[in-house]
Amino acid sequence: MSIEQSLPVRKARRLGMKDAGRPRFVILLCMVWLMLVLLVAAGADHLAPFSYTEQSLLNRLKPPAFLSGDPKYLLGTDGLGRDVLSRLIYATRMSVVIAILGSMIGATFGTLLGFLAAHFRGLIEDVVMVFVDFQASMPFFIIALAVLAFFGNNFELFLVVVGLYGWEVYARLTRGLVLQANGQGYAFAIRTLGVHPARIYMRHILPNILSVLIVQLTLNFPELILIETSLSFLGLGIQPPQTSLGLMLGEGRNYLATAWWTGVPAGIVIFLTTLSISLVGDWLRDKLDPTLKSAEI
Amino acid sequence: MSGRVVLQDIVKVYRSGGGLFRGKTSVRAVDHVDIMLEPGETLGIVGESGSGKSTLGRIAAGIESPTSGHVSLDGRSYARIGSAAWRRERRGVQMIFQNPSKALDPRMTIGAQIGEAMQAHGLSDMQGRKARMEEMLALVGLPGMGGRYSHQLSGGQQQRAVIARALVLEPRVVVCDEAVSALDVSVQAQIINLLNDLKARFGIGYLFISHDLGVVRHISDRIAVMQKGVIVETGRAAEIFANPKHDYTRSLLAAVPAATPAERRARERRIA
Repeated sequence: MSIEQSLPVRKARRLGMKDAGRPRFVILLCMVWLMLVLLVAAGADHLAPFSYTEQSLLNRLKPPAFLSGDPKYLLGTDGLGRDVLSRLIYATRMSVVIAILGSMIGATFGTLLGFLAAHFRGLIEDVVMVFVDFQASMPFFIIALAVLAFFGNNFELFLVVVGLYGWEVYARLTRGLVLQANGQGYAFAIRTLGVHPARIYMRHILPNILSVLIVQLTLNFPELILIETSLSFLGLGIQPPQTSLGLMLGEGRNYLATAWWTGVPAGIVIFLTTLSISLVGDWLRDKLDPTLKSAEI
Repeated sequence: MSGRVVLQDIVKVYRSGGGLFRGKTSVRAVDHVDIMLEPGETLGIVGESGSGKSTLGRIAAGIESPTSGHVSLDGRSYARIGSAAWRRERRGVQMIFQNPSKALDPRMTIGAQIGEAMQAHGLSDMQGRKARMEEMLALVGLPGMGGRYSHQLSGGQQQRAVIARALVLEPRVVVCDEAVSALDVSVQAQIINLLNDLKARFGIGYLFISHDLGVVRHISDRIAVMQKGVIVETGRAAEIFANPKHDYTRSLLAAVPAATPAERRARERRIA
C-alpha cells in the first residue's frame, strides 16, 4: 500500500465508514457456523457419542437432555431409540459431502460446456444449447426419479444425479459471460498480444466471471441440499441405515407433533447452513471484485 | 531497420445478416486501397467516422482479414488469424486502441499483463521479465506502478500502460487506432510526445489513425486522407496541410479550429 492509498482509508475509518476489507459481524458468524459444520463433517467418527445405527428400543423417543430427558442423549432419541445428536452429526457429514461434491460436479461440467460453446460457436454451441434447453424444460425431479428408478440406487449414481442439478444454469451463464468478455476490449486486446486462447480463458476471462459463478454456486448449494433432502424423503436418495439431513427431516416429520426433536435439529442445520452459504457467497463476491473494493473505501 | 507494411488492392466488405423483414445488405468499408508504411515512418490516416480508416488499420495490423487484396509485413503475408504462426507474428505488429480502460484486464495488475505479453513470446526468464517490465514502465512514465490495477490509474496512465504492454514486445510496427481520442487534450499531448520519444528510441513505424487533424499533423511524416473507403489523397504531412489538393481534404482542414487569431483571419480572407 502506498501513502496515497492509505490516506483515504484512514480518513474513511476516522469517519466511521465501513472498512470493505473486513467482514461484518454477521458474516463472521456465518463463517464460524460453516467452519463448525465442516469440522463436524470431517470428525464425525470422533464426535458422535453413539453409532448412528445403534438402537435402544427401551429408550424410544426420549426428549433432549435440556428438557428433563436422559442426560446420556443430549438431543433425545428417535422412534427406534437412536441418539439424535449422533445421527445429526453423521447426517450432516452425508449431506455436506453430497452437496459439496454435487455442486463441484455441476459447476465444473456446466462451466466447461459453457466455455466450449462460447469458444467454438457454430455446431458445438448449438448442441450444447439444445441440451441446456432440454434440461431446463424437463422438471429435474422427473429426470432424477426416472434415472434412480431405472438404474437402481447407489451412492455414486445418486451423487451424479444430484450433481447434474443446475449444470445448465452454469453452462448458459458461462457461455453468455464468455461471449461478453470476448466482445469486450480486454480479451481481444490480449489476444492481439499473441497470448494463447487457453491462457486468456484461464487467466483473464475465468477470474473476471468467477464472481458471478461463485454467487451461482452459493445459490445452487442450498438447492442441492434441498434436492438431496427431497429425494431422500421420497425414498430415492440416501437409504437407511445411512442417514442424511433430508432423511432425518423426513423421518422426523412423522413425530413432529409428539417428538419434535427427532426432525427439527436437522431442519435447523439445513436452514443455518444454507443461509450462511448465501451470505458468505455474497460477501465473497464483493471481496473478489477489486473495483468494488476501492469504490467502497 | 525493417517494418515495411504493404497493403495491395485491399477490399473489405461487411455483410449484415439482414433482419426478418429486411434483405441482406453489404457495406464496402475499404475499397481497393493501396498503401505502404515505410520502416520507421509515421503514416497518419485521417477521415471522418465511417470512412473505413479503422478497418484499414485492423487489416494492416493483421487482426482482421481483408475480403480481397494482399497484406504483408517485411514481404511476408500474415498467417491465418488465430493460428500459432499468427500469434508469433503479433510480436512484430502491435495495436493501441482508443479506450485504454477496455484494453486492460481489470483483474490483473498492469505489471503482470506486461509480463504476460513477454511470456507469450517466450521472452527471457521470470527475473529478466520483471526487470524488463520495470524498465518499460519507467520508460512510459509509470515508474514502480507495476502493482496497480487499471482502475487505480487515470486514463492517460492507462494508455501509458497499454503502450508499455505493446512496446515491450519490440514491435516493428504499431497501429494506433484513435489512440488519444478518448483522452483529455493535455494528456493527448503527453501521449503523443511519448509515442514520438519511443519512436525515436526504438525506430518503430506507426500507422496513426485519427479523425483529429491537429493530432495527426503533430505526429505524422506522411498523411493519407480517406473518404468512404477510398484514399483520396496522400502526401507529406506539411504538404497536405499547406497545399491540399482534394476537395475533401480541404473541407477536413477547414473544420479544424484555427490555432491563432492571425491564422483565422487569413482563412477568412481566403474564403471571402
